[in-house]
Amino acid sequence: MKNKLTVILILLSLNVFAQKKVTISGYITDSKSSETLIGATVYDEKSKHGAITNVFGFYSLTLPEGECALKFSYVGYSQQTFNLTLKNDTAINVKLSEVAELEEVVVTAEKEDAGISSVKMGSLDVPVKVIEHTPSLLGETDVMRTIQLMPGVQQGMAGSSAVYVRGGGGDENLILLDGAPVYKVDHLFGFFSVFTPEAVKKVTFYKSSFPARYNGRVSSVIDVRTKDGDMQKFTKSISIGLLTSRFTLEGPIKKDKTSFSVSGRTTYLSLLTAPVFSVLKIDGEKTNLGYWFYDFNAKVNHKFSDKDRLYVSFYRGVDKFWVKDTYEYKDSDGSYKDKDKYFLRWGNLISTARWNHVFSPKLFSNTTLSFNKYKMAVGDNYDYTKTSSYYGNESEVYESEYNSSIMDLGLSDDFDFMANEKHTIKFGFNYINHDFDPETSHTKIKSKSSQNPENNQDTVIRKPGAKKIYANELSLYAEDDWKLFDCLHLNPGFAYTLFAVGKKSYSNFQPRFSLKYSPVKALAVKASYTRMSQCVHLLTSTPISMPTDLWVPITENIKPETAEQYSVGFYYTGLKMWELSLEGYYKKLNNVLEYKDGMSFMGFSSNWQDLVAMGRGTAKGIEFLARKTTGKATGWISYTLSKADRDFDADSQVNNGDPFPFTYDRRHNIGIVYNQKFNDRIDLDVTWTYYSGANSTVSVSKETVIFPEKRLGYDWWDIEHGLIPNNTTKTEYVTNRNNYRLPATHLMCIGVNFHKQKKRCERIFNLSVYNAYNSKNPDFCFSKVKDEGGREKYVLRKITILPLIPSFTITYKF
Amino acid sequence: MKKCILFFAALVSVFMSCREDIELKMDDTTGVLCVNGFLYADCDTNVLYITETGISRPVPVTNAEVKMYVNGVLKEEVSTSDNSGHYLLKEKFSPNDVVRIDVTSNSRHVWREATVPECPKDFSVEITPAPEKKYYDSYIEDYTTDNMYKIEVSFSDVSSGKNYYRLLVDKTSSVTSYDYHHDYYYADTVYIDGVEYISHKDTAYYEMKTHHGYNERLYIGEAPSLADEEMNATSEFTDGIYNYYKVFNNSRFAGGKCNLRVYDIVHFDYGNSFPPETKKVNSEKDIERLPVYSYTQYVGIESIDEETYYFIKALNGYESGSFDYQELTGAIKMRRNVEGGSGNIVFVSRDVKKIVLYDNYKPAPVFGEEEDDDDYSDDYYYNY
Repeated sequence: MKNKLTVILILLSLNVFAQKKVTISGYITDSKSSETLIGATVYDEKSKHGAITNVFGFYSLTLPEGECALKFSYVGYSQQTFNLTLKNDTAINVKLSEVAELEEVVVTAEKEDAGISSVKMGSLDVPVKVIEHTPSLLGETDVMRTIQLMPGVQQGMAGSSAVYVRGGGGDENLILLDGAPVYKVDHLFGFFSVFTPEAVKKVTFYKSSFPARYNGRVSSVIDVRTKDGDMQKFTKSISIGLLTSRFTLEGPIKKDKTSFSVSGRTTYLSLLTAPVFSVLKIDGEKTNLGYWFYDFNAKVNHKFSDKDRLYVSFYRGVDKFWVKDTYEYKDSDGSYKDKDKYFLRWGNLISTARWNHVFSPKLFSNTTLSFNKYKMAVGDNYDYTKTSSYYGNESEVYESEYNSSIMDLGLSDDFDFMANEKHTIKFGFNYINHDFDPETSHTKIKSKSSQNPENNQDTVIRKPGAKKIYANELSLYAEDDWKLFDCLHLNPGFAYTLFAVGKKSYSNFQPRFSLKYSPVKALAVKASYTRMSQCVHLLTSTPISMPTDLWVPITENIKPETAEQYSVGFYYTGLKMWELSLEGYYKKLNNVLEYKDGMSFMGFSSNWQDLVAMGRGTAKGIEFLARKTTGKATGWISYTLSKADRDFDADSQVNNGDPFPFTYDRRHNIGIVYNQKFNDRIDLDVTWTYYSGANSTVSVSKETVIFPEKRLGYDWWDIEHGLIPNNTTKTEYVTNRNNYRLPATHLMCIGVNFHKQKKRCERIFNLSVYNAYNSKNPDFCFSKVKDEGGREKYVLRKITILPLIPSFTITYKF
Repeated sequence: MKKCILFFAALVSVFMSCREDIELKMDDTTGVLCVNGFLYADCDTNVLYITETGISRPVPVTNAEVKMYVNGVLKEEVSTSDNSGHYLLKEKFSPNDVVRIDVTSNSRHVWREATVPECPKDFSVEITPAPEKKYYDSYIEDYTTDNMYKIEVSFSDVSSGKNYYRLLVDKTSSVTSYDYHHDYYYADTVYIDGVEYISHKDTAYYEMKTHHGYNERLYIGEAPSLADEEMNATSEFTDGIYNYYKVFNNSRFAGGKCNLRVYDIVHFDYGNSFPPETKKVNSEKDIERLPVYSYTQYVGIESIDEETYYFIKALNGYESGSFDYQELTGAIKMRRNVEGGSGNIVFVSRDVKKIVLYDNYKPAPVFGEEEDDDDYSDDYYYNY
């Protein structure tokens, strides 16, 4: 106790005898576009104090009165240094210029020195340039695919953009678009994410040591920020690829005051497949199958003053898949024609309005109002017309549609309070009103008959399905970035979440703590503890992403999932141009959901809570990352050694209570990214990934399963006559869940960019090859009985769906 | 949904570069003793099905020894079976008995011990004709009921704890007609599988009352928060799981009385209608040759344990086609309750009511010409 008092007194005395402090604050922006720079650094060489711009490009730094040497820097930009004499609080807005010769791809961890400055760990900033230089499937650069190359991140099914972070499930990632959560993050059944790279300004990925303001998912946070729009001049770009075309347009509405940014992307897969289906007939019916999606982003940013800014952003993305059958015939009596169209349509609508206000050089606030809707519809439109000289004319239109949707309305306020040079306090709240509308359907029938007009009808039938569910989620949080000593930084914080659904409410206190010890400039040791909770779950049935996968809130029986994560890491920048990090983690998951034995495909929400059980999960691992961020050749090598499993109680009806490995418990993961800039005209991007095999439930024999009697009516039990009912069938005999480790996956992707400066624009021709050496990866596997010379045996059927796929994209930047 | 999966399969086939069979390095799991049976309290004969796991199909086991203990006392030993591995148990057991089944075969030993659930109490059934009502079938075509009857089932929960039940509704009908062409009488008896609901998707015909005063189109069992369509859960679009075996729990009537209302269609062999009140005849001889109608409705309530409840729910998934996508999801582990091996031995207590709706019923004869479009015309029978 005495020691503690001494420490407190020393700490207090530091403030008592401190000299007068002044605060400098302002925005750091790009000199050409005035786009705010997230994570730029301000550092005083004299006092050795620094600060980093927040997600709105705002910084605040408290320094001792007097002379200072302020260094403003951002990766890929020229550094600026100002020697100033500080007497009063001062606002300094700084514009940094991009340096052409430093255009190499760089990944930073909050800043250029591999996260050494930041007390946080397990976080990575992914600039757009990194995303653009990650070769991908069919030339579609993708945020999620770049994240999949980071240590600790697993890919789901081959080609999928789903991420599984540190042993967590696919629904445990909080994916934010300008602060609003995105529920459905992919197109084309999971192959592409909804984020158009051209619209993205920056992506920040957290897998541990989560800032207190993030809540609601337990495994990771992917914070995607879109471009604000160029305040100075109009710029545009057009890209044409094999699968999609994209455009962006941005520019000032009023110079240095208001800007906008618009981007869009659409696919023409249906056009490519149309010739095939135009000649295809199934059972005499002409069948056409199509798929289409689009993304549209728009953002307006207005600067009222240096103290007030408003951002309004909008996103709309829609996928549509359809099958059309047409059948017709004619004879002497008349004609008949029917058309049947089955469709699936799903999409997000996200809109946010954010208001930044600088109350004082030390207090910055951001207020966000968000609206988010995900809607899925499955429908059938059928109409036929019949003309007959005998029966007259008949026509009928039948439209049936099944809908499921989630709608969120959110309000949050985030404050950054730079109390002094030692304390930066962040606090605020986040409120979301969830409206889950799991299943509704309606049908329209319109029929006409010239012979029997009394039978004509025009009817609409609505059928409510599962009840609407309303839920309210409120989070309060606070954290303090506390520079205790120059070599020792702490970040204590907490989040308190209250989730109310129906008559039940759950509260959860989530402490967060991070510590950084940096004995020398080039080395930092960090440790953190994080607790997270999650109150919504994704009900999914297959490894591919289906639009019918349903988000549902927790219930009276299903409690919030929680995760506790302990991490420790070492960061070293002593090698020239290289940054090294080594992180270890141990994560405990509670109330993680699994289907009970015998339960599987659901696709509907009724009684879902009966079909799943709550259990525990553990994940542990070591992650190594070596990055080269400057020079002509850049890139990184990541390696992860991990283990993840699940454990359910014996009465949970999951795997008889025996522990089993998590599906994506892949032991070794290697990711290599290599970017080589040969000259101004050609650059090369190569990625290579290796994943140990995932786990799958495989059967190598069949057993009998019995069904209950269906009948009582007649004498089943006339056993004396040998009438024994055969109410059994055969099914796969499975010993344990995830009892087989599938073969490993490895593939290389190569992209070459040819740049050419034209009169009015720059042309970039990208040539990419996915799976360059045509690795036969186990994209789907299942066991199968095979007859080998009269002897039956089980084999593993391995299906590779994504072989070597070349593609190209042409981009014009104006 | 199925089209969606098919679309994905089409994509797979478009991109499919390789399909390769590789060796599966796993321990052999054939030869695991698998014992199955629904064993009913107070039943004269119960059947156990004993097989062992095999590569492409289970193999019947005919050399097993079965011992049945009731409350710790050996009641029966059976070692004979037919070729399909059926073993008959003749000794009875009662609700609340602790029953243990031991099966040994070729040094393999499996067993199951459980307490037999208590039989549902105060079980009663009442059947009345249902008033006409409009309804929509699965294709949303509107119909009016004209051959419906209402089955009202009532029973008391066995205790206030968690209890699980299964509803059984079955019926038999027979029409004995005279074959004019071959000059003989013949009887045609049909056994109709379960309840013929108006529509699996139409919720209007399932009602439930509880001692809490519920009287709504709510389905049997389950809490109302998310879980509405317990008895009727299926969707045309999403391939939901239909409660094929009609299991439910007492979450809405724990410790109280459960009233179920089920509607069924009178279903004779040919055509869905009640027997005619009158039948036209031309002669006295025709009166003797009038068809004779019999119709019996069976309604039962089974009491099952929690494990069985979830096992049967898993079977609902099986019957609803939920196991069709194992290439995507991997094999699905079936629930089992037999220790040391595999299979499910389920102890059930049940009460069944037999209600005879028509017992050798003959329509009243009316002299006059038979109409041509009569479904029950002799030509129809003959041609059939």
